[in-house]
Amino acid sequence: MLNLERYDRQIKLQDFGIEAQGKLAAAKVLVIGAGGLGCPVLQYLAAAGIGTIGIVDDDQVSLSNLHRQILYTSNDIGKLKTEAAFERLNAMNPEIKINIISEPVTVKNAFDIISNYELVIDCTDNFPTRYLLDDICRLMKKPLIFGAIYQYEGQVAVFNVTDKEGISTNYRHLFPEPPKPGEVADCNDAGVLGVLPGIIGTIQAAEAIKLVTGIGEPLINKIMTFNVLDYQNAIFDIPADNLINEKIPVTLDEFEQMNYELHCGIEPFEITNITASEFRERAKLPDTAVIDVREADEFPKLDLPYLSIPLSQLRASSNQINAQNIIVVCQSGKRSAVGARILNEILGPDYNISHLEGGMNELNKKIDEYN
Amino acid sequence: MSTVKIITFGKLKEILGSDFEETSYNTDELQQKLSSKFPALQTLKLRIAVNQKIISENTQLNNNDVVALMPPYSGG
Repeated sequence: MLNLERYDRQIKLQDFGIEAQGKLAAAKVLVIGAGGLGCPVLQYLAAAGIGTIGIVDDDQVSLSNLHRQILYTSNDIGKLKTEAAFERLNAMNPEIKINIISEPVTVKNAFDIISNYELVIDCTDNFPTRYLLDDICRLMKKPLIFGAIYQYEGQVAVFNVTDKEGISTNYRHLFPEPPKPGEVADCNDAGVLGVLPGIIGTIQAAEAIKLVTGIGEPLINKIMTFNVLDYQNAIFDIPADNLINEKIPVTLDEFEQMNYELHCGIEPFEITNITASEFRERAKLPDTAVIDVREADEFPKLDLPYLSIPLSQLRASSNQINAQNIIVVCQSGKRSAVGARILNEILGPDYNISHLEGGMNELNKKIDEYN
Repeated sequence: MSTVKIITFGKLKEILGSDFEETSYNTDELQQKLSSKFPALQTLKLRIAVNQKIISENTQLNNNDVVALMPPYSGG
């Protein structure tokens, strides 16, 4: 039974009514990623009364999530995001069903997970998962609401839904092939204003409600861009070109054979991780170079000899490195892992390339512990 | 030769600057022009839209057209 009081203010809306509320209650929506975009999406879908919500995420809540991932509190740090989100959403609206899947989405489990839902919302934070989702949703003809952010800007689009002419598009129509690793920075490295995913995620939630209830004009075959600094937004038509590309899977079998890391140029290379506690000893060894791949204006600086080559210049400037043992360093350990891969690709296996796990953040934590 | 307004997004804003004017006959020529001025552009994935339609082929430009240059974003 619908709780008419809970949803009174939207049932009252012209062109909405009990009928639309009933459609929301019957809907099954899958949200992949419970981070900056996922939090507002989940919050508004739960509040609006989507009957069944699935949440996929294998990550845990960390302190640096809290400025934008508004479902979580300081007490949730270290908890699985799916479990913390479940607790919060269940308190917000106990009248809906929430399923949690605390594992990464892969070519092996994607079909089974998505089969249980009628609509998928992409709130992930990396290209391999985005291309994986785009391919499987295209193959399963599952509507996909795409959202992505970069610093102060966001993009939203609705894929795999046919327009009046019977045409549908997907992310491959926009960017048939992924960018190279390191080409496009994510929130961890480029930063993000906390309200931006709040705005973009809320638009994704609005698109989900519109698709389920059939109101308004969802962004079908269109991509909307939004800039929080000047509120410039624009809507672009996506062309439904033929996607002829042998790298794109066209059957479920081909999909299962895909390696999306490799597809996005991420080579299978075992990076040697150096922990914060062993870093100083290792950096002192002979024939060793420490490479800081952060931008010049990032702090704190290292207090031992190092070479500064921002990640974007690493390819062009790798000839500056003249040591056999190379330790790559950045703020969080993410760019340094990319940097280590790039150097491995250029310099080859004769070099001993490693990176500082957890980056300067971990190193400084260690210092704090000593003090 | 037409004078068009260029708008940029994401990292392209950092490389090219935000909004500016450029003269060109068509989108291929415009892209070559920008790539020689800003070599960093050559290796980046981007899509071009003319008057809010993303184009797949070389497109003739007219005065006052708005050309948008859009890179992919991954953040979430």
